[in-house]
Amino acid sequence: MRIWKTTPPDMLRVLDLQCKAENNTIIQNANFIVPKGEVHALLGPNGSGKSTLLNIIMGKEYDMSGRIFFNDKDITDMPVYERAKQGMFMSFQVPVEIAGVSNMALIKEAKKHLNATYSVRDIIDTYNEFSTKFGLGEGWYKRQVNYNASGGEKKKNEIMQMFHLKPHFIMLDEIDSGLDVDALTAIGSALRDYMTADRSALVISHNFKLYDFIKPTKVHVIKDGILKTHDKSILKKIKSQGYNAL
Amino acid sequence: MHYDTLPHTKKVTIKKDSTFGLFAKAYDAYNVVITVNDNVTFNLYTLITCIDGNSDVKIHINCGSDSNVNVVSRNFAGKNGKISFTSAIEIPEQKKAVDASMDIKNYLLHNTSEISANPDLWIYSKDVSCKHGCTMSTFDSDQLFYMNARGIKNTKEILVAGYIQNILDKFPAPKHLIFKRNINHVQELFSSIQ
Repeated sequence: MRIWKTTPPDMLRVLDLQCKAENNTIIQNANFIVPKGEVHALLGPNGSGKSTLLNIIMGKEYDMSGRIFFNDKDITDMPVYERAKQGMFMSFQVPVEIAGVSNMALIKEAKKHLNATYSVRDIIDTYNEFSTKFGLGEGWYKRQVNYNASGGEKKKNEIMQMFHLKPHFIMLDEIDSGLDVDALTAIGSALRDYMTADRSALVISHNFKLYDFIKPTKVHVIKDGILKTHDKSILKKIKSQGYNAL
Repeated sequence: MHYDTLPHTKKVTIKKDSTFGLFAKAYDAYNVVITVNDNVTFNLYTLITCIDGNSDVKIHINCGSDSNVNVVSRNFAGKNGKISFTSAIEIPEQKKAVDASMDIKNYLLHNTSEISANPDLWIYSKDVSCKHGCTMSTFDSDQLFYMNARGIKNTKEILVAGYIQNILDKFPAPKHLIFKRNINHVQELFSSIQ
């Protein structure tokens, strides 16, 4: 019997998580906690299972065992949309294109399902505010979701969706990829402002500049299927010596 | 560009650059031979939404020299819906510099749905660029996961509405709105999604 005691309370708790794909173990017995109000980094070499872990937490089906708790509620068997309703959000590494569905329609539907109050005016204003801030110009709400968008534009759209849905727990999968220097600064600053004492984040990024903005307190590293939790000082070591030094 | 719906007549000749829509539902039948004149661009968008009945659509397009022909088809079979769709592009030997494409996507919305799709390319000329794709599927699991991750439960309805909207968007207003009336049974289609 494992007893977990942390202060502040846990936002996310992953217990003995194991994941297999095509008879290969991708993640073995991962145990970690993301407390309320903290930002944690999730690192590891390419193909080590970082995105898979985020997908599992968000509820994508895998051959897995173990338990996942969110705000002390066991969500292991909860459908994906229910997890979002509980306040989870995932920004995708490769956001899909959805032809025919506008950003406005997606946000309206999402807000309806999340039982959030909204007005069309608010959605337009929020979109215009952030799309201008991120250098996309106005009218982004009319665009089809990620359709014919560049890699950087898709990543900005993910963050704009986050600002609309206001989740408590965000998982960012390489949000920096495809962003130019100015865009990274704009998004990094926006994320820094978004993180308050009642919000937590689990962030995958190979660009250490992003961590200057969001300041992770812990770093989880997956290597050879094993997840180990380190203090934030490990970032310096990884940056200078790579994962082989661990 | 001229925009219109494809007539029910047996033979149609496209004399100027045109974009046509074909909107069929259950118990609709089309058997149309289209001749595209030389130096003409012709786009055809077909949308078949069939619930509880049969839809039978056959299109045969004869391409002219230097013509540009694009066929985009989105077919949705709901509960007890059966769609038979044949789309043929023919490029006769004497016709040159033809650029043609055919993109057909079929969606089975229920386990009682049936779609028979037959994309044909009859190419007798050597001077052509011709491509085609035809898929038979339920839904893209990545799109479903993405929308679920935003808290949306009825993802399939939204995707179907999006695919339909994407076809309607090819036509400017007010044609767009007129065509929308052709698919006013779409709510019924949603209810047959399994």
